[in-house]
Amino acid sequence: MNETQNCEWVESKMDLYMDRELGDEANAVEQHLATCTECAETLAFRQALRQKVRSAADGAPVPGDLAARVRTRLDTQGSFRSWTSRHWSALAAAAMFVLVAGGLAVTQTSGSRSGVPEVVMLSQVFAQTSSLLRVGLQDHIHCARFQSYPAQGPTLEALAAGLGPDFRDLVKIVHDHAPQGLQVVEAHRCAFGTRKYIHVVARHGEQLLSLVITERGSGESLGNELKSVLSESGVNLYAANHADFQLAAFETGQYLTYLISNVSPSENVDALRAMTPALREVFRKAEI
Amino acid sequence: MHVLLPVRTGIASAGIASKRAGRSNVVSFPVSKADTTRPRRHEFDADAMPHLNHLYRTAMRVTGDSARAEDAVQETFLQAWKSFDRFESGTNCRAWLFKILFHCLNHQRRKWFRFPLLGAGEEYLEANLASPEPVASTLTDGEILQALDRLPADFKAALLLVDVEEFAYKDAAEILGVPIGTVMSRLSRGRKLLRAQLEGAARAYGILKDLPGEAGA
Repeated sequence: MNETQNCEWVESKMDLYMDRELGDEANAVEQHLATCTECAETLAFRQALRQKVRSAADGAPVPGDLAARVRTRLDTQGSFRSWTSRHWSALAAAAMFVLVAGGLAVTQTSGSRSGVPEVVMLSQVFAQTSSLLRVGLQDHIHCARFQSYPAQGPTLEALAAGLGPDFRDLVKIVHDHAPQGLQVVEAHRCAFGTRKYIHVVARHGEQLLSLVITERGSGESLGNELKSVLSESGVNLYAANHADFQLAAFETGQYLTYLISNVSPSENVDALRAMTPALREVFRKAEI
Repeated sequence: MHVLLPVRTGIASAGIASKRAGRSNVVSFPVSKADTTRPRRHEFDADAMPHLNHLYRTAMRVTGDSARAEDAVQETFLQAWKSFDRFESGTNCRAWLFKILFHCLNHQRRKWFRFPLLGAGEEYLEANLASPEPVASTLTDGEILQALDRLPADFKAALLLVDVEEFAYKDAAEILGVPIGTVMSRLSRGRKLLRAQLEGAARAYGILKDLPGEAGA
């Protein structure tokens, strides 16, 4: 083996050698390094540079209160159980069973206020609503109607932080424009199968309101299924109702946005109308 | 989230001080089926929180944005906490957390935030490195991090995991969800680009007086 070939071979093995991933061939590399100054210096340079990179990266600043914010997030959302497709499969199966069996006279479950359990309420939504109405309503029913959030829960700031930088403003938007008396009590992300939601919940006594946002699927258009009631900031607002749920919605290129509550129909539409300009600004930034 | 991850025994909760220790004994990440009770927070804090700063710094380098980095780290800890009852104390918590972190970063990038891949393309970098930058009087941490941040995102991730976090190739492959050969290739190309960027400054800084073998890098 001449020296040039040997240097090329060592060069080809140098990363592995430096990372102690070479195995048995390490001995051959070391024998070459003992006699070849150029390769030894190349290795020394690479090791020194790696050490410099590690030192520079390890020295990058970390926010001093990051640990506290992580702990706050765990305290506020650590017990939240996002709903997975597995949960939903079971729920849908149960709903179908209830429908088929006609067993509507079932006992009240925890979290229900009217005596109608979640599974029955959802079965009615599955049976009686259009698909795009269902998209928003099912999230409201599962994550707001049948969940209890403490009235004196996390601060608005902590809730906003949980939504991430692009969507943190949603908490303030709901806080500013929800009908009088409703206070934001929860903000989170959740998922149903492949559909993901951002969800802000406000409550005042028995009044309950959800802002629900999800990505708009291919071919989905509210105009195909719901009635447009007015136009705000260049978008059409749609309205519908199911049982005592009032629903207002609009769509942008990427998102479907729902406001669902049990306030009056006009209050619900007016609230979404008031939120629309700020929501569109949030989407505009997020879509960049 | 349930993560199956080959880990090396003995470095589970050792923190950052011994991250290169124990490079053998690869075992499967164990799942404690019997323990269905919710773990207490102080156990999670003791196992996971020591890795917070390293996770954040990695996220910061990958995203280039402090808010997004913090978002990914918070989501990582939330996911880890929710599945902590399946994590067995004494195994590689650090590798497990990094796997969750990269899952969260990829999710951010792919699905939700759509932030652009940071770092220029490899071809662009190589073309623009034909003329070495002016030789700096010192090689500062800021210059090194700038050079690191300019790397294509995939190369940078491999380099952060192996060179900075000192994961073995096998663990880095698990964390990134790619074959081990892909990690080696990305690492090699990333280092080459980094060396090319820092060569001038490195000479002046005196890491070495000369850089034999680097001319064609």
